[in-house]
Order: sequence, then structure tokens, then C-alpha cells
Amino acid sequence: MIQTIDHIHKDLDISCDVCVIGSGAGGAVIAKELAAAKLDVVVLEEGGYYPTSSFSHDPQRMLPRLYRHAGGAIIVGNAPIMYAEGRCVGGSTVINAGISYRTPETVLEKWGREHGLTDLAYDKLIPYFEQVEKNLHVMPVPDAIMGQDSFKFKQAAENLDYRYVRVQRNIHACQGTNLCVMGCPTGAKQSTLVSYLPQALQNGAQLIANCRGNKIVTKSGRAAGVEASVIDPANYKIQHRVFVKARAVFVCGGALHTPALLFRSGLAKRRAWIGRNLYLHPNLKCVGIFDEEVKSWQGSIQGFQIDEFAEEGIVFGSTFLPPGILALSLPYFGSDSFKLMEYYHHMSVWGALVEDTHAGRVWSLPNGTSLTTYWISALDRQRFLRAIALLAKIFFAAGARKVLLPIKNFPAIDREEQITQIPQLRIRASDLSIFTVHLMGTCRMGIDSRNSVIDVNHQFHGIENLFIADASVFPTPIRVNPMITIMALATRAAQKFIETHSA
Amino acid sequence: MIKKVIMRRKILSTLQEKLLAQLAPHIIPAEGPPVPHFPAKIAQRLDRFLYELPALLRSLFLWGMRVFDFAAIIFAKPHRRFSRLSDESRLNYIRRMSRSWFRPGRDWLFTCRGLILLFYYSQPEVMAALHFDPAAWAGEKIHARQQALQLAESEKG
Repeated sequence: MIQTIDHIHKDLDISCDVCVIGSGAGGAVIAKELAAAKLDVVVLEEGGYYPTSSFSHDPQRMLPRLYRHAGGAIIVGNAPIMYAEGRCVGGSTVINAGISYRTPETVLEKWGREHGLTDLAYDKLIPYFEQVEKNLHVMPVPDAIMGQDSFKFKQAAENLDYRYVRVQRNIHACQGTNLCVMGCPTGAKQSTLVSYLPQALQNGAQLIANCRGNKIVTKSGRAAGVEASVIDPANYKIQHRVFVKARAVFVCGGALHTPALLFRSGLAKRRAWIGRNLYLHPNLKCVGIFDEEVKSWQGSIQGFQIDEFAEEGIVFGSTFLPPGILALSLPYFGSDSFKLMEYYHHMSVWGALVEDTHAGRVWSLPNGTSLTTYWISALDRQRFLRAIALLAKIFFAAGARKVLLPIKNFPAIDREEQITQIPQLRIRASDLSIFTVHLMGTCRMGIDSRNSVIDVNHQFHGIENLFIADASVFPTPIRVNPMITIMALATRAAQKFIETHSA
Repeated sequence: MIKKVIMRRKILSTLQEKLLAQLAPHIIPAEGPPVPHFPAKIAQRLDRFLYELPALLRSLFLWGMRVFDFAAIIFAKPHRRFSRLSDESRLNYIRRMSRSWFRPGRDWLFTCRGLILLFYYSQPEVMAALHFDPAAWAGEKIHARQQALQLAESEKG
């Protein structure tokens, strides 16, 4: 059963076995697994409930509904970094591209070597990966739903002899509508809204939307429940108080809001690593203009990825931006803007995802909110320039006649020779337009309680029955889209919980 | 049953809405298709967007608006507030500010420019001029998926 603000008319006092905070990749999986094990589960979700039929192509309508801060969320530092995060039932799985990669083996080896997480070896995680992939219909994107931009991208990789892979996505009868980031209007993308959450609800879980977790209540070193508020989405005023008395609490609010909740609950005194170790996978986008029509809105959001430079921590892929968001990211206005946007149907947007080497931090503010800071290191800045130069090269190899770059004062190039200037540019971090959708690592997992927040079974060091299952548990960045890793780890966490508690 | 209507507090004052209405025509392209009631729509959409922002960012944006308006006394010719300049002087001031060393004014202008363009290029009339008709496209695909699922179901049966 889903309850929204329309169904709640008074303060609530609820008792259950497990309270899950968040309904995204982590929370939905935990809810489904525990509800299937006949546990009484209550899920609290801060965002609203928007079914597939309510999704539209219009960013003006969908950004305030589905995105935190209507997509205008910013991380502060030597360059402001915009980040996108879902705030709705289904969390970021509703607005992501659905790209579904397993955690690379090398990353899991590093976790074992440097953080003692040998229980998370690739072989041991395979059953969890398989379970998640089966439930989400993970499959390689078929040619039938690929658009021109994907084929151009593949052609460029072949021309340059770069290694590329066909992208795996969680899709069921996808028609290549390419509106994934506004919420899939056909329901083909298997976000948790249409996969895990209905399964959890079918097994008796209860979901309260528009309900923000304020504080985790602990008693004698054990989690005892959650204090929450029902928030009116029209004016963000608190309408009702909710208290969920639970035998166990799973926090799945994502890498920024999980530490913020732990701060508000007074748990930061116990674990100094809460909020530290924030990684972003910074994302840089270039726009290529082709002589021929591309119509990049037709076809799957991403068909291929170039992973030739994966060892350097850089991967490339195509994406799609609606005209409003594309115009916003280009440095033009007035006639200049329209002269360029007139070629919208000739444009393709491709991006580079860079594995960052320098960590940011989530800070607690006195009013109960949090502030996120991130400083781009000189080393990362150089790698961003290298990624942009490589991306420009890929565009020219695909036949682009002009490439728009995310660099202030160097906005466009139309000759391949100009690429050599890019890595030599003397720029500040703030001269780059950086964006992120992968936030991770602020409550890292480890076996040593002095330098981690949770143990290998996702339990908070020192507090019984308080668990974390979202991207905040990653000890390092993982170089690929994190959805499947979050879900596989959450499946494992739920099963470990069932094994321990059924005994 | 009486439906409870909860009003959202308006963020932009009338003066701020007026300033936006004066700025928007210089940001949106003159060659682009006209959008009826556009400045009023802009203010309404921007108000909704600002409402979603964290309080700190929202305050910074509103302060930036004042700074942009008053900085024209220094940077524009003639030296008057933006809201009191002629159309031509406004455009010159916007161009100057977009290249200015004065970061608060420049950053605010860049943010506001982005938002105005986001709203403008998301209008159906404008998207149609860009050969992009997402409503029809999505409708067609929703129908195609339903048919594909029905076909798969009947094949199974």
C-alpha cells in the first residue's frame, strides 16, 4: 500500500519489524527482499509518488516533481558542480539512464586488499548480480532501438580502433523513446517504481511517500525507530509527525542524505568517517554538430560505451538532452543561441565519465541541514582536459563538423588540429562545466571501525540493527554506473539480515 | 467534500517579476518563434523553480538579482539601474556583464540566462521549430510498447 499526503490526516504511530528510509536502488531492494521473507516492512520516501502514466517530456513539469531541488542542486567548491538526484518514489532509478554494469573485478579486488572486504569478492557477488539482473530484465541494447547517434558513436570507435562495449540496460520491451531522464513514459525502463517496489508492496510492505526521515532513535546501543514528518509537496510545510517503532532500521537515502540523517541523529560523534570520502564520477559533456540529421531523441539513450581508457579511469558514452537543458548548458543567448539551436536535430551529446582521485565531504550545519563540498585537484583537472580532448577526437572521427566544448573561453572547435590545444589550456577548475549523477562513498564500509562507518554486513559499527544500503557504502569510486552494485549489495545485505535474524 | 487548497508562498516580488520581464526579451532569440505571454510565464516558472531550491541558494539568487540591477549604475551607460535603462542600453549592459570580471553579476546573469532558455526552449512552439515533437513521439512509442507487450502475451498464450 502506498500512502501519500492525501491519505494521511493525523500524526501516525506505526510499529513494524523493519523501517527502510528511501525507495531508490538500495531501499526498494531491501524492502522487497525483507517483505518476501514475511517481515513487516515500512518504507519512508521523502519524494512524491508519480506513476508512469503521469510522466511527461516537459522538463518544466518533471524537474520539480522528480528531481531534488528541481535539478538545480549544487556541490560547493573550487568549481560549482551540479548534481542530479531523484526525489520521488523509486529515487534516482526513475530518472537515470538504466545503465546496468556489474562492479568491475579490479574494484572489488581493491576493496578486498585495501579495506579488508574479502567477502565482497567478485565470485561471491555473482549470485546477487544475477538475481538483480534477472529481476530488472538487464539486457544488451538491441540494434532495433538504437538511434543514429549510437551508430555514429560506434563508427567513431571503430574508425579510431578504440575498444567499445554494447551497453546493458534494465529494459523490458523498450521502444527507444529516449525520455529516460524525465521518467520513462512507456514503463519500459525497469526502475524500482515498476519492478522492486510493486513486488515489495505485493508482499505486504507499506510505503509512505512525502515522508522525510528526521532522526534515527537509538536505545542502549540499538536502533529503535525513526522519527519522520509528512511534508506537503506544495509548500514543504510539515503536515504530520510520524513515528515508526522498528526492530531494525535500514538507511538508504543516498550518499548525501544518509550522512545528513546520521548527523541529525547525533551519530557522527561515534564515527568520524561519516560524510567524508565523497566521490562523484565527474561528468563532462561535449556537443557535436553533424552535416546530416541525427535526431538524437530517436533511439535508446546510450547504445555503446568506449572503455579503451578505462584503466585511466575515463569512459565515454552518448546521451540525450532535451532542447531546454541543452540550451541551458551552452554559453550563448539571444540570436547566437537560436543560430546554434536551429541545428538541434543535427546535434549529438556525448559525455566522459572520469573516476575522481580526490574526495569531497558532506558537512553538518547547525540547522539540521547539510552542505556538500568538493575540491577538484590539479591532477583531476588535467584528466578532465584529456577526457575532453579525447571526446572531441571521437566526435571528429564520427564526422562532426563542429564540437562544442564544456570549457569557458574555449567554447567550440571546428578543426581536428585544434584538439592538441585542449590539454595545454591553462584553466581554473571553475572554467569547466562539470555535472554529476553518481555520488558515493560517504559512509564507507570496512572491517576496521576506526576508518569506516559500517561493517561488511552493512551494520553501523557500534549500533545494533542499524544498517546502511546505498551508494554511500562504497569505499572507493567504482568507474561504472553504480545502480547494479547498489542493488547487488542491498540484496546481499537483506539476505544476511534474514539469515542472522531468523536464527 | 471541500477540497483543501494550500497556497504556495510566492518567491518573486512584483518588482523582481518586472525585472525578469525586462531581461527575458534580450535573452530569448528574436528570430525564434514567439511564445504568447512569455515574460509572465517565465516569472511563474522561475518562481516555482526557486521554490525548490535550498534556502541558501534561493537567497543568493534573489540577492544576485539586486546586484545585477544596481551594478548597472557602475557598468552601464548611462549610469542607471537596469530597470531604468532603455532597451538598447540594457542589451549592451547584458553583453558587457556576460564578459565582466565582476563575478557575482556575471554568475547571476549566466544562471538566469540558463533558466530563461530552459523555459523558452521547453515551449511546444519552440520545440516544433527545432523539428522536435516529443509529445507525439512519446505517444507513438507508448502505443508501440503496448502492442509489443500484447503480441508477446498472445504468443505466450
